[in-house]
Amino acid sequence: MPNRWNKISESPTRTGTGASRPGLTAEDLFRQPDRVDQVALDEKLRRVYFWLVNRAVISPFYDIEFSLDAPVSFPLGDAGAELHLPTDQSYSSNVLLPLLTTAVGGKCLLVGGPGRGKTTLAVLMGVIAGTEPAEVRRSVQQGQPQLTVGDLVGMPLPRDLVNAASLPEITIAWRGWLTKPVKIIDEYNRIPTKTQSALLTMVAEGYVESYDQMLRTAPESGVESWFFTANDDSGGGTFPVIQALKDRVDVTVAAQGFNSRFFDELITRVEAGEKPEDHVPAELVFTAAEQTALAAAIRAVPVPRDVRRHLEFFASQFEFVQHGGRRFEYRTKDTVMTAGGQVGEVIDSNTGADLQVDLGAQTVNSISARALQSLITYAKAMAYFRGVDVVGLDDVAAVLPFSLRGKLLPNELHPRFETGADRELATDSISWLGDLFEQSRRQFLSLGLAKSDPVGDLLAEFAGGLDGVSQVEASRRLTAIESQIQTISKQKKLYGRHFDDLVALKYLHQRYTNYLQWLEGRPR
Amino acid sequence: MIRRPGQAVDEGLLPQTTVSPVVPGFDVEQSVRNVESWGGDSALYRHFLSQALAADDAVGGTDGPLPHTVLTLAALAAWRSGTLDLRQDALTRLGEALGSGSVPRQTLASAVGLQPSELDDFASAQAESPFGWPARGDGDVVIARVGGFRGLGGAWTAPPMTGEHGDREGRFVITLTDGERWQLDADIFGTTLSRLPPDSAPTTSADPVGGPEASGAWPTRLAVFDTSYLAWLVLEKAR
Repeated sequence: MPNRWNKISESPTRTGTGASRPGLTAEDLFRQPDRVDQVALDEKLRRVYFWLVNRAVISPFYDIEFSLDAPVSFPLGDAGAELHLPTDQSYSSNVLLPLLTTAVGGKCLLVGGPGRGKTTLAVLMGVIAGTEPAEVRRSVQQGQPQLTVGDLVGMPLPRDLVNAASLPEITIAWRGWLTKPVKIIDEYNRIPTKTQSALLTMVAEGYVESYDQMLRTAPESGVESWFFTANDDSGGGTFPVIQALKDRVDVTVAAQGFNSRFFDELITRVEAGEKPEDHVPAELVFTAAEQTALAAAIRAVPVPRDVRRHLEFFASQFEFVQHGGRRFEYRTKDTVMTAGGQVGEVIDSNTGADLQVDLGAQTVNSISARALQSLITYAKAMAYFRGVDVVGLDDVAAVLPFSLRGKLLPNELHPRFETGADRELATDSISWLGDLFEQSRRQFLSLGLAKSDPVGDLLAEFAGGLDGVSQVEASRRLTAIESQIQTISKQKKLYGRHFDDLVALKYLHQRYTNYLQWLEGRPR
Repeated sequence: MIRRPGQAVDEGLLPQTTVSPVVPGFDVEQSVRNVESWGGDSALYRHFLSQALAADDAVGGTDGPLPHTVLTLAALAAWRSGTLDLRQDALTRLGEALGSGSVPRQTLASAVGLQPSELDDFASAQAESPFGWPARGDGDVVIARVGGFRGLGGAWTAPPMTGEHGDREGRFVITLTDGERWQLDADIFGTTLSRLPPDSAPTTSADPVGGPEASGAWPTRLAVFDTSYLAWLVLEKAR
C-alpha cells in the first residue's frame, strides 16, 4: 500500500548534458525507458541517497557543493559568512559519506552530540545492505566502560571449558553481529582500551580470534563496512581511542543539528510512532551480489594523470620540516613527534621559508599512505556516485576534508590560526582542509607543474626499465638527475614538495649508480 | 525583438494539433514522451506524424497503415521534429520506402514537411551531408540559432566567443567568454548542446572557424557576435 515512505526518486536522478544515444530506431520510439528493476547500480545508489535525504533523515544540509558555473554567493552578517547556492547537484555529507562507506566497504566515524541521528543513519545503512531492521538494531554494539572482549566477540561454551584437553577443542559461541555486512559500534570512545585492541584486529584484519579459534568477519558479499559513533572526536569520552583504531577510520562526518523549519515532519513521526529503518523500500536494498559488483565498479573508476599529479603535489607538502633532524631524510615531522618534540615549535624556528606559502607549516603531521588510500577510494566512490567516468579534482576536493579530518592535524602555532579572518579555521577542520587543498591546487598551477614536471619525467624514464640501457645512457641520466638536484639546491627556500622530489631523485641516482656498477663489473 | 534559439526550417511553422494521433497497436503517447526526452519538439512531432497519417489515410483507404509504415513515418516525424539520434534510422527507412514504393510519396513527404517532388533531392542531399536540403539558395543561409541567454530560456550565462568544427561533420565546439566549452551536434532539423567537462581535451578539427570541413558541397560555419548570446549555424555557398 502506498505510504509516505514509499516515494522513490524518478530515474534518471542525475541527468546527462545532452548525451548522444547512437543507434536509436523507430522501435525505440514506442518503448518505455528503462524500468526500475533494470537500473544501473550507480543509479540505484543515487536513488537510495535521495530516499534517505528526502524521506528517512531530516537533513536539509547541502554542504558538499558542486557547481558548473560560479555559484551565487550572498554575504551574511558582518563576520565574513557567505551562503553559496551551487549550480550542480550537491549533497548532504552526513548522509552521502555513510552511504559511500557502505558501497566501498569502508569505516566511517559519525560524530556529534546525542540525538542527532547518528545511530539511526548507521542502522539505515545496515538495512540497505540487506539485514532486517530488527536484526540491525539488535546488532548495534553499545560502547560502555564494562564492555569486555567476551561481550564483544562471544564466549567459549562452558562445557568445552571443562572437558577440553586443548584450546582447539573449545567451541566459541560467536556473536551474530560479527559477520553482518554493516557493523555498528555506538560510542566507541566509551570502550575500554583492551577491548578496543580486540576491535582493532577485526577492523584492520577482518578476523576475530578467541581461545585459538578464528572467525572471518567478512559477509557473503565480501564487502563489510563499519560505523562508529562518538559524541566527540578530539579525545573526549570515557576512554581515549587508541591511535591505531582512529587511523583505520576512513571518513569522519559530523551529524548535523535539527533544522527547526522541518518541525512538522518531526511531529508526524512522533504521532505515527514510525522508524525510518522499518520502511526502507525493497527496491533500494542491495543484494550481496550487487554489493560485490558495486564495490568492484567503484574501484575500477580511473584516476587520470592530472588528478594524480595534483594529489601527489598536495601529499608532498606535509612530511618535511626544516629543523626536524640533521640528515636530510630525517628532517621530518615524524622524527620530531617520535622523539617527543613539539612540531609546531620546530616549524616556528624555521626562518628560511615563507609560512604563508609553506602549506606544510600549517600541520603538525603528514598524511599516511593508508589515509591516502582511503582518500583515493572515496574519490572514486564520489565520481561513481555522480555518474562521471573518471575521478575529477572536484570529486577529490569533495571527499578530502572528511577523509583527512582527525588525521592531518592543524599546527595551532601557525600565524594563520592565531589572528585574523582565518582564526575560525582552527576549530572548523572541514573548511580548513578544503581550503588547504584549494591552496595546493592554486600553487600547483602557479608553479607551472601542470605543464612541466622534470622529476616526473625522470621517474617515467626509469619506469621504462633498464634493459638495454647503455653505460653512456645511464651516465647521461645520472647527470640529468644531478642537474635537477642542483636546480633545487640553488633555491634558498626549501618546502615539502622539494623534500619528496629530492628523496625520489636520490632513489633514482642510487638505482642508476648500482646499474652502472653492475654494467662495469660484469664479464665481457 | 529578442531572437531565440531555433531551426530555420521550423520558422513560421504552426503545429496544427495538440492531440496525439491514435494508431492501433502503437503507444503514440509514449513515443511523444520519448521524443521530448531525446531533445525533439513534441508539438512538431505530433504535427508531422498526424499530417503523414492523414496523407496515408487519404491515399491508402480505411484499412489503416501497416506497422512498417507507422514505424517509417514515426521515425521521419521524430527526426523532423529535432531528434538527431533518429536521423540514421529515418534515412534508412526513407531510402527503403522510396526504393520499394511501399509507402506513398505523398505520405513520406508529409512526414518531413516537403513536397513529394522534393523527396528524391532531399534523400540524395542528406546522403552527402546532415545539412543537405533540396531548396538551397545562392548565398549563405542560416540553418539554426543555438545557445541563448539562460535568463531568457537559453543555455548560456555568457556569450559565445569562438566556434570551431568538431571531430565529425555536424559537430562543433563552442567556447564562451567565461571559458566554458560546449559541444554542438546539429543537422538540418535539430541541434543538441552539451557542456564539455572543464579539463577535457577539445576534439576540434585543426581548422579554425570557417575552415574547410568534410563536405565541400555543404560547407558550414558557426558565426558568433560580440553583441549576441546566440551562435549562428550558417550554410555557406557550395565550393
